[in-house]
Amino acid sequence: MHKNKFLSLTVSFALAALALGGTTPAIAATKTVTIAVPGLPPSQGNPFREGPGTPGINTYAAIFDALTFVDTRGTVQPRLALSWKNTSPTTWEFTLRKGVKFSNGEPFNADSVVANIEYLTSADGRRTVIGGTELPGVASAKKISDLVVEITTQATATSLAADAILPAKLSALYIVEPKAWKEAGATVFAEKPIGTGPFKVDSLTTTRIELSAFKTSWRKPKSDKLVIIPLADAAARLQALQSGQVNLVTSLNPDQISAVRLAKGTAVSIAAPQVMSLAFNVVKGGPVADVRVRQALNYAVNKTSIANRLLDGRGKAATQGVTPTVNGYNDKVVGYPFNPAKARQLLAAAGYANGLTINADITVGSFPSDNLIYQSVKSDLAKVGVTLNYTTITFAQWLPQYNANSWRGEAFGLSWNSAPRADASRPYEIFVCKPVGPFYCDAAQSALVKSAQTEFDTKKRLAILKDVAVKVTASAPALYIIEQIDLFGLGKGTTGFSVTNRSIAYENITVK
Amino acid sequence: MKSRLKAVRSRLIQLIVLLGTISTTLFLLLRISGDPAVLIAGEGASPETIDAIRADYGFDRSLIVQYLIFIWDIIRLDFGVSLVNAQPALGFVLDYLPSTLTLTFLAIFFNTILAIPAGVWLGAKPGQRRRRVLSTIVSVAQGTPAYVIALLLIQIFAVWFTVLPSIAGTGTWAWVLPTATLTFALSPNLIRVVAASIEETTAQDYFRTAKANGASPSVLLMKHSLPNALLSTTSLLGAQFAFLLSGALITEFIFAWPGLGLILVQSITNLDFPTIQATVFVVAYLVFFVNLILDQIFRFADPRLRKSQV
Repeated sequence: MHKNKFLSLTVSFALAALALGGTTPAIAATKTVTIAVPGLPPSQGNPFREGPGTPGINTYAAIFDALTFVDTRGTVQPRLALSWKNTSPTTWEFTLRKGVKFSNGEPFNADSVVANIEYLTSADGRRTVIGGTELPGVASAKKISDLVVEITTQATATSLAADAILPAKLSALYIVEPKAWKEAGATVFAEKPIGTGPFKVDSLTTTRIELSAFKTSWRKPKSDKLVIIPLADAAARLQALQSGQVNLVTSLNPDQISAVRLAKGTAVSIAAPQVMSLAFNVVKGGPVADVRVRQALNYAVNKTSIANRLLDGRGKAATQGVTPTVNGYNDKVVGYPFNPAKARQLLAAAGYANGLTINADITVGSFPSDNLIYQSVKSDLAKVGVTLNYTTITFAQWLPQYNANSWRGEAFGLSWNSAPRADASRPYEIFVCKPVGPFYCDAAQSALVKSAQTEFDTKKRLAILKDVAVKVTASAPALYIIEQIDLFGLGKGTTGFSVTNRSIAYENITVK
Repeated sequence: MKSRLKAVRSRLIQLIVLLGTISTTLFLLLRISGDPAVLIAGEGASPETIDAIRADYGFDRSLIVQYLIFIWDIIRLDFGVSLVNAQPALGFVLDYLPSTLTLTFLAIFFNTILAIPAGVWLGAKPGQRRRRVLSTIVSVAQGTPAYVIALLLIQIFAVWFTVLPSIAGTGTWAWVLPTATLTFALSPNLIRVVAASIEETTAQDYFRTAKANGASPSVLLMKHSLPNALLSTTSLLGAQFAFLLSGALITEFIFAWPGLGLILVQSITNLDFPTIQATVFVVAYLVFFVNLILDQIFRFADPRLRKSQV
């Protein structure tokens, strides 16, 4: 009797569960694209306070536009600005796109750009990542006409006044609607940001952003709605994709590719303009102050094997601090091919025939398989007598040490990031002779980097950057490990997906 | 009446001491954990920028001045604004409290109605073969992390059968998997505690006497075993309640659950001092409140406690 009751209960539950099946999946027949990402931008909808990478870029690319956009080949493309020219070494004139509106109906014009730059150059704006770190060289903006604006540059601690690649650098500046920004203030604006992008924000919380199509956007979207959900756990993101609750996931792990395929989805890997490295605290002294040691450590690691094994063959061994799609990449630089014998020889010549110990602080979780990659590096180094002791720390612990170069050990995890300008000048400007707390400095190389910034002849400029690549790589300020990838998972029926320079083209994504 | 007032006053003093201790400890721990101004300024920020941000938030003042201001603000329930999103920290935390509280109540409710009958059944005749099998299953379940339970449940109900959503905010059904995860994660402990308590009472003289006097199994259970088992059960439930209030971190992460745990982790990652302080303060207050209720339940359930306080 009891058994029968139990059976009937079980059957009832199963039937109820099956009946629910038709109603529960989040994706119905509407054109709603749901995306799972590892995290939402902590600053919510304030694009000035976030760096130009993840997590901000996954959200802001749907809401905002910059004046320019740098494509996968490092070419500056029109965005809100259609064309530009430099009228003097420190002055650029931008002609803006006509007929663009913000999602609240306000027109986009020269006044909008001036207001954004005025904020950026204010005391508050200089305390933001974009105003203080990415665009410290932007000095002011002046309206020439409704659709023409003039932007001037200034010297900073890392650069001279003239800036040959200002248009590329401005791709980091998302334009906010100035009236709403002023009326609401930064805090309230961050809760309901307004831009010119293909989607407008309906609601924004720590755990969910819901957006609807901005149908009169100049980047008119193909979907009606967009939902961005933070799922910090990679397995949970995969399961959300497998179950059809989301249409797209970012930061997929290489070992999840087969599972995506089994679910009739597609895994898309895109080369990121970033090189994963273990940077050396050369300034501090010790064994890594000797260039032979730094070179030896580079030779000791089998980077190709790492790329093949741990990135499913989708990443590549890094030869220098920038990737092939970046302006200033030098394809003549071969870097440090795997050669443990040469590594031992160099170590012996430097006085470390019996090996040495390197202590490092690293962060993990930024790129596919980064944790496993560090383990592999450690294993390879051990084979030439180098003990790598690394400690995994949080970004909050990493940043102050990086800024002040107060590392406890000889090395630290560092990503050589050329995004969003896709130009080698970015990592070289930042990492070679960093004005405060440099970990590596070579005055001649720094002067060369600065000269590239003021060289307006593109060919000559690229030649300088390629020369920088030769010289910096020879000095081996870091153990260049691999050219990183971004891995995305697309659910069945998701179409129109593309990523350029880490920015998702949200206007084209749709679902069947 | 006088003793009641005395008890209330004693509790209030305890609450003040508890919140004061927690706030002070938290204040000091946060100040040695890192510099939020550096995080706000970002990579490669100039010292001038970092100094300006420190001045904005008052981090440039001496530690003692910061502490006094902090205590004065707490007395006024003013935790300042989040360093990350600039919203009032307490209001931001309170916005997420209902979600955590509801999930907590649901998990405790289902945990109780699952674990108590199972524990009673197990503890009544522990030597039985069927019960030994269940006991083994419970032991294995007890060692299974909530993370694994969550992923298993998602795999079965969201991926294979596609009958339940695994992402918060997708409707009422989105509550099922997080609740089930927490229930299955908590219940093995409770089952074992109930079973052990029941088993213990069956060995007591009063139980054997009642049994020898011909008391029926239901009387034995309801009058002699269960009331005794309830004391340890309530105690564990209280601890579980407190654990859930502080946020079932893993569960909230996996299901993108908008709760205190998620906020706490995010604010710690961003060194968002005001939000961390507000979250911990709210949780500490609630845990104290839960303990207060538990005390009353103990007094009700255990005549010895009532007598001792008369």
